[in-house]
Amino acid sequence: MTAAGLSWTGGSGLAQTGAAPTETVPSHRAEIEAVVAHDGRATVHERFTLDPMPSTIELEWLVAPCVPLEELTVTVDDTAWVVEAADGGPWMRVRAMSPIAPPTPTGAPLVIVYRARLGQRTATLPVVMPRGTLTREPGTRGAAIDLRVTFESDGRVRLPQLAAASNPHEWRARLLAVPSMLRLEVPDASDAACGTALSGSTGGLEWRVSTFVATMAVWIPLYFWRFGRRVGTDA
Amino acid sequence: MSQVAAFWTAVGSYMAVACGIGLWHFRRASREEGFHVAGRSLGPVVGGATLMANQVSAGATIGIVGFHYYSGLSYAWTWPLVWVGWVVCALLVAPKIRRHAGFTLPDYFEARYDSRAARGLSAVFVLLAYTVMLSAQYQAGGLLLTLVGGLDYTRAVVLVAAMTTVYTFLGGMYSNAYVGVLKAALLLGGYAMAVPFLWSHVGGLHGLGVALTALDPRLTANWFGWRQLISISLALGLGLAAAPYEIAAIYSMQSRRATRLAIGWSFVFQACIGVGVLVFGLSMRVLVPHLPEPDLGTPMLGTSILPFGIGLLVLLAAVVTFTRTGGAILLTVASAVSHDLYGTLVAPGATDRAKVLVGRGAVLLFSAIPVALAFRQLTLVNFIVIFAGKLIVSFLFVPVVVGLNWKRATGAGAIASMLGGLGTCVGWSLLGPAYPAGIDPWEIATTVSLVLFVAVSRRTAPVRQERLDVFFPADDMLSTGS
Repeated sequence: MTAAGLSWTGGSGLAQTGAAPTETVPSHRAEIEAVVAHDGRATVHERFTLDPMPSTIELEWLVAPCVPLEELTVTVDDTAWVVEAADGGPWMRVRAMSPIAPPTPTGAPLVIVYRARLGQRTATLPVVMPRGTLTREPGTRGAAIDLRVTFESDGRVRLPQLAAASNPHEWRARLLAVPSMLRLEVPDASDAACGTALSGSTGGLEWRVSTFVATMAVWIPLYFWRFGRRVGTDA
Repeated sequence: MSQVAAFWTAVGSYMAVACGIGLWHFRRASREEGFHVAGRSLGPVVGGATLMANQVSAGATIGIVGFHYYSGLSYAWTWPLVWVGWVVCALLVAPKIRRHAGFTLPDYFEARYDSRAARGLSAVFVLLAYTVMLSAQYQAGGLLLTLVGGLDYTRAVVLVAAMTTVYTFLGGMYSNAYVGVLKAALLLGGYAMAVPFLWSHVGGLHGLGVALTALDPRLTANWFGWRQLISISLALGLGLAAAPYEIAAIYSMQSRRATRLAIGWSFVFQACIGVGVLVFGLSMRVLVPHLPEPDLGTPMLGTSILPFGIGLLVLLAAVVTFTRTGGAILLTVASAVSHDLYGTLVAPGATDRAKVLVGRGAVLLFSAIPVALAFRQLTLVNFIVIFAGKLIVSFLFVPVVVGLNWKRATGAGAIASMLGGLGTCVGWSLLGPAYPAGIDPWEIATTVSLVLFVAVSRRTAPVRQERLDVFFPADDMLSTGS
């Protein structure tokens, strides 16, 4: 979106910086694979082809109650990057830094690996993603994210929309951006009691949306009451 | 069946139904009253769906979802605020304009101001503003078909233009009215299934609120200030009160009461859609926080987030939205060309058949022009819609709404008002984005339009009384004196 484009419609004043919510990450291809065991243990491998390879990358994920991520590692060409916590919840943010500066341009992908345990039959598996918009795959509207989820036994992906592959336990999709979460059904997982709500400030969203809906709900009957009556010259 | 195949099958089925409706009414639409105003046959519910379907364009189903995606909740307030414009319409426009059995808004200009020049100028300005508006529909459709249907953007835009043209060409206002009902059913049905699904997976309002506030506190509070929201809403709402396609829809209603009830029904439809697009935009920001373009929110929601069937319904509803609103715009443009320019100014003795033929030719021609604008993809879809709304309110609000309620207004005043309003709006827009004194182009333009309208009308001869009797009958308490 060009500044000229926004200016042409008077949009710049409205948009502020909103039309470009995040930084750009120099990668237009990624593979994300999640393997979910029958008891709900999940292992996720992500590979991002970055060009040029930065010496630092910020990663983030949306915390899921009762599904902490464990053993998060970031490697390039078998070299482990240093991972530092940057911000905590509900969007957890970490900074991964190459131990070699600048990193060797071998063409090897940035590999992110982590584990989680899904404590409920329908659970959220957070997806760790680079903090920013991936560049566009040439000729398309977004990046090419190949997402694959494999269940060791029964299971299904509720969100995002993945298609069942020829292997009945495997689900696949190609997306144009990285989703923040996978919603999975794992029938054999233990359905442990868990506080399901994210903690933190809602910014008053509940009462603001309620006020918005109530305003419209009052408007409509008032309108019909005032203008719906039959009057003498209704032809 | 693959998603792409299912999508094209659904689009093909919709086009078959829409064309079937057009063909069913083709004979009735061969008469001018049938083509332009559906034989003045629309009742409150079909009329309400028609009004809603005109207003809820791709600017809503794709553009406003994108707006909510990047700016959060606050833009939702434009829905009830825009309704102020509809109340103005119900109070000050619909009851009076229904007294005049016209087809188009320029018809009103000639009848009210006894001025063919005012009719011609309003028709030309409507062509300009609606070319901009139509390009937004094509752009949104192009984005959707690119992402979902696998076409390249250029071909997608051309296909959207072709789809819009075909069914408008066939059925005129009859098609628009009944496809409007189909649009309402698809939107309400699709959204009724999609919203609870998203709600359950993002943790309801609480989950959305926590995740969004942590991203940016303005997403759940006031990204847009009240000054901005009221300005945008009044531009759109007051513009709707005088919008040519809504006036044509009002002319198509059975009676004045049917018109007032139809406005109420359109509120019901709009409220449901407003809540739907809000939940879509906010949920997408949490589920896919780094989309390359906000306008991709709806396409990605349909293709990659919602379950297959629900996603297909939401995508089809978006397709119906841009083709249907595009159809209403094309119909207005065709009416301006065939009825107001050709039938009145170029060939006043033309037969009904000749005018409908010219109208159908205009549909083909003016469908093609906005394609060039859509190819350039100048800005977000909703910004284009807002800009077109500002253009419309700046030159139409005063001569339509004030002119219907102030007897002393004259044709020269209306012409000065339209020229001054549109010129000021375009000129002031070029001064942006930081407008002088923070005054929006439509605000200064409408003020200039009003000042010129009053000043020039005061200095020119009044309109003949027999012309005014239609709009200002002796027993009308709303009419203001000279």
